[in-house]
Order: sequence, then C-alpha cells, then structure tokens
Amino acid sequence: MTPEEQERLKASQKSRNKALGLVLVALVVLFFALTIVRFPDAEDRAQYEAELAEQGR
Amino acid sequence: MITADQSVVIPSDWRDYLALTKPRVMTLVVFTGLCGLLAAPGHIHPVIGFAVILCIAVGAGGAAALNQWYEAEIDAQMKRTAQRPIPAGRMDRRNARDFGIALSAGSVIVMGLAAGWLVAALLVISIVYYAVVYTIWLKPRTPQNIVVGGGAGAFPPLIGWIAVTQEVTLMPIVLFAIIFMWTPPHFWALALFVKTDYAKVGIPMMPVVAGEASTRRQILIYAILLAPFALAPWYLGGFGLIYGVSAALLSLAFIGFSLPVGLRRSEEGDAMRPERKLFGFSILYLFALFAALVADRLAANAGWIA
Repeated sequence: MTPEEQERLKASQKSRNKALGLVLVALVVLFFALTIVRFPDAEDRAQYEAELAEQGR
Repeated sequence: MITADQSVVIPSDWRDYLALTKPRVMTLVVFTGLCGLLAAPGHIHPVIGFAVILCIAVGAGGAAALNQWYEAEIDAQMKRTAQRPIPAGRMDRRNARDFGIALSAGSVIVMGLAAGWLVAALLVISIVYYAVVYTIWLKPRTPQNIVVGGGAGAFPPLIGWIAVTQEVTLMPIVLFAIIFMWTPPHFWALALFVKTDYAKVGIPMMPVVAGEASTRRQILIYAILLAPFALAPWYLGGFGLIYGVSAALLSLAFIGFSLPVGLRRSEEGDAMRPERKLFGFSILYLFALFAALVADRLAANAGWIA
C-alpha cells in the first residue's frame, strides 16, 4: 500500500465513522423521545386498572 | 511464488450510501406518507408522527438499496444508471445488500416500537413488495411491471394513515388505489419521450413490448379510470368540498393532458411536447391532490366547514 493510498483509506474510514456516530446519536435521541412520549400517564394507568378489574371478575 | 493481492479496497463514501437509498424518490414517499398521516382522522403525537415518517423513508431507502444490489448488472449496461455506486465500482455489492437489509430491518423494528406492530407489518409488506415481488420477480417478466411497481409507491400514505387510526379501513386503501392508478400514465409518459435502453438489458417496458400506439391508449384509459378513485374520498363522505372540487378540477386537467397523448402518434424527430407536459403535470397533480386532502382535513378540524 502506498502512503497516498493509506492516507485515502484513513480519510474515508474516518468520515464513515463520523457518519455512523451521528446516526447512533440520532437513534439515542429518538429512542429517548419515544420513551418519554409513550410512557403511560394517569389516564393509561386507569384504563389498565379497569381492564385488570374486568378480567378479575 | 506466492503473490498477494496488493490492491486496497477503499471503503465507500457516505454519499454513495446515501445515493443507494434513492433520495429523490424518497421526497415523494415522505410527502405522500406525511399527507396520509395528516389527513387521517384522529390524533398522533408529533414525536411518534415524526418516527413514523422517518421509518417509512428509511424503509423505502432500504428497499431501494436492495433494488440496486439486485440490479447492479442491469444498471451497469444502461446509460441512466451506470453511474450508480455499485456499477461505477464505488461500492462493494455485498455492502449494498447488507446496508439495505440493515435499513429495512431497523426501520421495521423502530416502527413497531413507535407506532405498533400492525403498522410495522404493513411496512414489511411494502419493502418485500418492492424488493422481491417487483424487483426480483415481476419487473424482468412482464410489461405490466410499472403497474405492479406502482403498488410499491402507493404504500406510504396508507401506512401514514393507519399509524394514526391503528386499523385498516377503506379510506387508506382508496389512497393506495389513487397512487396505484396514477403511476402507469405518469411513468409511461416519461417512457415515451425518454429513449431508454431497457430493451438492451431485457426489461420488458410497455412502449417496447406493446408498441407506442398501445401505450398511448393505455395512458388515456388509466387517466380516465383514475378520476373515480381520486374523487372517492369525497363521495365516500370522508372529505368535504375543498377536496371534492380540487379533485374534480385536477382529474379533468389530467384527462385533458392525457387526451392529446392518447390520441396522437409521434413522427420522426418529434419534440414529444404533449408527453413532456403530461409528465410534468402528473407530478403536480399528485402533490396538489394530497395537499388538498390535508387542507380539507385541517379546515374541518378548525371548524371552517361542516
């Protein structure tokens, strides 16, 4: 491998890693936001309790 | 003597991966998917709505990557597609395949977690439909391939709608049918004025197989058949006059642009002006129709109309 090739290889690996890193960070943010949004609130819990009570009878 | 391969494989640039997802097709996918989501009755949290559109787009990108993985040899022989990453030698074929699978699987999993597994299952169907049913199975076998392929493009508004309502009803299927009926006249108009080399690689495109006259006739037939589907959201009662009037005007114009294309014949050295006009208008038609759908829903929600 010539020094120039090595240089190009390194540069392209670096940019690929950067792109992958950005994708991972974006996924973390998305999953965090989805978790917050989908977290059950009082209304969801009341509905769940009602369903449980319905089955219990 | 032992010789070692000294050549170095430079990893593909991120731009090549992006090109693999066909970003220009994706804009239409995102737009129609978003319109389906916004036109549906009910409410969806903006974050979940965003995730749904993202997953539709990434799923479409994954299917596009798988399409280019499978068609690399065909693409290499056609001028329009020879510069795509795989035929141009900028990307390893297996990397493209793995990238396509990763995008497809990732989008389906995130879709399931964000909007439920019914919607995720529909996304699976749409990806398999494009990458397998269309690309691998029917495109190389039948001149009706564009009719079949239209089905792949018709999924986004259906998925967007059902992400909100969480049930498969008639209206999202009507939206599916609209794009399904719209695709053949849209694409065949293009095929008439762009001389492609599909014939060289053995893909049976309608103008090559059935001839120009038959293709023109079919464009007109589809344009007329499209109208009742475009009007269906209004007469089925889901949408009001804003949509009904827009759809009627747009449908009339679509038939108006298709008439000269359907009834004439091209001569040697023809500029193909009616065909170019129809193609250009067909894109405007779809954008305007779906925008009208959303405008109608927003107006109804705001209480401006009954």
